[in-house]
Amino acid sequence: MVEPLSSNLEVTIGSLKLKNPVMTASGTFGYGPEYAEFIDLNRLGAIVVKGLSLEPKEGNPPPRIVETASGMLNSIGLQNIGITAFIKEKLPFLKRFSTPVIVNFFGDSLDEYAEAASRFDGVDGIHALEMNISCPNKQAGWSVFGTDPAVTCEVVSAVRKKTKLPLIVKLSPNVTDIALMARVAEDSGADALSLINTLTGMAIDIRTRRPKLANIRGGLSGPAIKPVAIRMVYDVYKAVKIPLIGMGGIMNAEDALEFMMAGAAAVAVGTANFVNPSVTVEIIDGMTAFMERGKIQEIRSLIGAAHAG
Amino acid sequence: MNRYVTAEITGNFSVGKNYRLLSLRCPDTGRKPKAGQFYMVQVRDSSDPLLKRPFSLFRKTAEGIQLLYRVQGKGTTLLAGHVAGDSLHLLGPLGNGYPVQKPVAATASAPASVTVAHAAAPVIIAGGIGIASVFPLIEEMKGKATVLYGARTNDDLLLLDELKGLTDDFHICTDDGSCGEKGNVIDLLQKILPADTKNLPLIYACGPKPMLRAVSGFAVSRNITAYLSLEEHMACGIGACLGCVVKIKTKEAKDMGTEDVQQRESSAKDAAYQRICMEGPVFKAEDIVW
Repeated sequence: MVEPLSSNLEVTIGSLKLKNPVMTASGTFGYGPEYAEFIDLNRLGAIVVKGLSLEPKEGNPPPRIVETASGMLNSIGLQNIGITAFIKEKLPFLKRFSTPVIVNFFGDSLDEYAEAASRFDGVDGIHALEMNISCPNKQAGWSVFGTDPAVTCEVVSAVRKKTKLPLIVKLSPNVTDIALMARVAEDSGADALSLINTLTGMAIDIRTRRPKLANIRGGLSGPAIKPVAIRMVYDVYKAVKIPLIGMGGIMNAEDALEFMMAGAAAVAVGTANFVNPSVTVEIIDGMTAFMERGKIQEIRSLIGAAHAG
Repeated sequence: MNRYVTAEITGNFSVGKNYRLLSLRCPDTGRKPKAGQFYMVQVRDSSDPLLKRPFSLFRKTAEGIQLLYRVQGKGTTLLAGHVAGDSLHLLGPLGNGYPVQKPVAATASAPASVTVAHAAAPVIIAGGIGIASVFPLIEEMKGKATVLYGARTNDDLLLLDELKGLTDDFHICTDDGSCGEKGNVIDLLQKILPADTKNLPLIYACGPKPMLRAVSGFAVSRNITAYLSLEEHMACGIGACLGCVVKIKTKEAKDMGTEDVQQRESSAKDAAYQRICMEGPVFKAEDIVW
């Protein structure tokens, strides 16, 4: 007897099984409840929460956001409630859903990274860690975590020793050779890579002659950065063996599929959540429709498809 | 039904040189919008402009809502091009409205007559397009509020005839004196509330930041409670992006009093960022760190 044709959207990120490849990008989905009115959180492949640090962070002064052509600059400054408050106040809500929770975190020093990572081990309801070494909204010195290969190696290795959870390293696009940074993260113990974080950018108000963001520089996201992100996923796919989570300007199912064909095993939707709070579910439905139309049974078969031949 | 809906435009009329009134037919989300709440409007399904724009609720209608806006940038210019029959994505109502104090019910300890005698008429202040936000409040308090309305020029004063029908105590000013008094709403405030005023009113205000800051200074110095509707660049409107923040005094700082706080080194504990879209857009003047 022949099995009826049905599209299978399951993918794996290391030991983490996802019911579909659509995740949320850290910093665009709050801690989850913000979107519960608009979508069934059970439908998501994974929820990646707003980046957390050992202590709560106040964030940058406003204006923190400015819209640019087909994109936006943000300089939120990693405002967050801290790891302890997250586990106590936010995680119980997320545990009510079948969707894996990936915690994004960062530190201001090697020790803080290691200490932060160790806080999540053994906490029920946390399924993987995403390590942010690439936020553009930190002081200049901080960026070495994601841009200096030796420091990246040191900080990823230190975190690796402190956690048994699947470890995803989120790469900065603000480097000369992202494939090199990807290999360094892989060699230092990363189980998967997220790419790309926002591109450093800036906008100036020509009437006041001042930068539009209070923090001067910000991170550019949205459809404007998608071709850059696709190229980087394509290059990194060739350079490493670990799975990639592709992100950068995904607005619809077509964009998501493009990332998968470039080499992403899963995708994260970011700025589009601000435009349309139910976009993640629309993307999942759009992927299913694409597979049915093309009689594609396994979405996995599309990963890296653009590299064939 | 959730608050992200497709609304049909039933009207988009000019109400002044650069101002328009957009009428929308909205599906019933089961939420009754309140004065001071706002909506995020996707002016066009495109990547540029990418983000929705926030607009105050101007009026609740039988079929949906009306939004009053100034045509001033890329987004509002596109919005002005829409005609009846077009549809657009709408998210709302969002945020908290103006807290309106209900008349206190008569009890044995506080007879109704006493309460009424002590309730000064609230003062509602609009600066420029801020009229859009306070208009439903003026309607709600029909005949019971003093209204101060300031704008740059005569061209920027909207719906004057309608407003005159909603309040018996109406004061207008313009920066250039082209209509009403020459000056700003603070001048008007000082005139209607001289220093020896015993019966102090509540103040509600929406307008440009410098005006709100001045209203706040006036209210705090006179120990008047003022509710101000703030604005900031906003991406999501639902509390996720943390873009639209304002620094608000923490409860501990408020309990300590102003002098104690000033004497101490400023620390994160004295004030914390709150989201205008979620904890606001209306805040108490005395709580805002300018």
